[in-house]
Amino acid sequence: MARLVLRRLLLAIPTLLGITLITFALLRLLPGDPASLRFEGEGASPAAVDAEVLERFRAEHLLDAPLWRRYLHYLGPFDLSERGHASFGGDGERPFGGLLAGDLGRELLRPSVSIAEELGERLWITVPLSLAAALLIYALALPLGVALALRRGTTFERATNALLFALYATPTFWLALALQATLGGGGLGWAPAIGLHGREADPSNGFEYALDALAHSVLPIASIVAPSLAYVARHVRSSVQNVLEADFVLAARARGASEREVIWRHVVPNALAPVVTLAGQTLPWLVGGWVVIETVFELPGMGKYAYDGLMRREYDVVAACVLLSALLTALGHLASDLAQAWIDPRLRLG
Amino acid sequence: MSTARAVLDVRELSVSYRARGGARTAALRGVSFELREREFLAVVGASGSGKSSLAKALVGLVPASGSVRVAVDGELRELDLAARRRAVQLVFQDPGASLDPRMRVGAALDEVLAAVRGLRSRDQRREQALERLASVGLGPEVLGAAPRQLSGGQRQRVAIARALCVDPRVLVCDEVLSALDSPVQAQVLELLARLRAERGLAVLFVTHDLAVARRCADRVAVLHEGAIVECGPAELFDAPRHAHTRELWAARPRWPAHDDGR
Repeated sequence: MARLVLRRLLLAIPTLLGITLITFALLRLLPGDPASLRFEGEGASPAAVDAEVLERFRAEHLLDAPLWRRYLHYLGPFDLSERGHASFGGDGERPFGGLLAGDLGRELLRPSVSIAEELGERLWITVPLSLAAALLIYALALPLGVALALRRGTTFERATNALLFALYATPTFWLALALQATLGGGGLGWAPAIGLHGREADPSNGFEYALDALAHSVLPIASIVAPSLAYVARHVRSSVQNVLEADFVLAARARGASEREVIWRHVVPNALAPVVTLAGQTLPWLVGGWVVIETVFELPGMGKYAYDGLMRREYDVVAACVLLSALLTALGHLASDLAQAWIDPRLRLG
Repeated sequence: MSTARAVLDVRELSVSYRARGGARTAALRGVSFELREREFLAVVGASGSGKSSLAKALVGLVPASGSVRVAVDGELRELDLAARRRAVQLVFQDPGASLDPRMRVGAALDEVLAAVRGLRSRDQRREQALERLASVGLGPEVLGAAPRQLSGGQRQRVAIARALCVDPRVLVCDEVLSALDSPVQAQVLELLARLRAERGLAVLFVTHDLAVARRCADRVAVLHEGAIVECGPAELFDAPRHAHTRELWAARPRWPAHDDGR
């Protein structure tokens, strides 16, 4: 088991390196230039910006340097800017930096903001939302999937299947916008649909503040749960259906075991193993989903950060978000492998 | 043997499956036979003759019409499904599939003893599990093994031991040799013979292997297109009356080890 973990962790290194390279390259293909965004965004016309200021900004952030140099600067551990390590032509003021030095960098447009700190703060929103969503997905999908498999051929199954299929096929952004428009403030007004807190929310009143955040999370969580729920429930259903046809299930029935014993002792535990594989991938999926949903609902989480970063050509912000979700994906797969080994006696019992 | 009393009496058993579109195809058309105490009755037939449907119908795994009566205190009675399943146990073709891969042998036997037999005492269940394992020739060491860790022959023995935990009167064996290689087949056949002698079990042995039927069975029933076309002592193969029986017998594989039928 320890060897499996070690091997997977070692394998994750080249994968993550590859991801930094691809993200880096793709982001640089985007049209637009952080320097002009930085100085023109404030209403000044290009002519009004001092050419020298622009030049300094570009040089400071290696915006004009060759791509390989910019990548190595980003990757670290040596800072390759003019203030960087002396061996690479810098003045030695800040010799180390970049990912390998544990530095995610600072925002280009708001140089006072450290990306790592900002991300850390925003994860306090995205991670709890994700955990709540994941719990909800499985709490609903497991019984639903089992029920679908057991009631095969009934009207209940057909109707639920059609509904799940529709949910699965619905684009997340559409569902989020639709929920916002119908149940949110503009529609029935059942749940707040913008931001994490209402205008009157008072941070000093801890409990009510938390309740307010919870109310604001209802629609975003519903938007992210619905399509995943459909996916997981359909997966559970087919897994249960497969096991239902196994001989050992017939054998249990032929011994006179009650249908409840058959389902809970033989069918469900055996059907769970493939579902566990899916569970490890839930968190990284959700992270992708939040980019859209946090943007629609204006929640200041990591997804919104990635979206805003992309819009403002904050290369390092986007790269940090991508890297984090890559890391989550790798960890998720490792976790599901371990869970699989634990749950599946064919792996555990030799 | 002919004076022995019937332990299982099957009358006009029919099974049909609904095909796509609602049409029904008959798998078993009014099959009648009786199985006597300690008897080894082989049901032979080609693929699709309805053998498996017969085995499954006897334990109520497929919907069937007709009557299945079991001897209780010397009297044949139609039992409810639960009671019938206690009297008649089915052993499947592939023990790799009929044993729950998540359950160790001990747990699989224990489940039956607790749920079907309702034995409360842990020690009693363990004792009975060990006794059933011993009667199929396995020791206590397999209790902690997962099905995956056992050989095919051991697994089939475990499957038989699991059926014995119910204390059945009749063992229905559905092609139980097909997934095993031939030395192991011989061992399982020996085991079945011993169980008949020691536990008074009657065996309904569904097989496509006519040589085995000829060698081991007291009586054979030849199934063809869902109906029994010929039924009698195993020697009937020496002078088959029905054309299909002749066909089957002529088409059996003839390896030296098997060719002891004539």
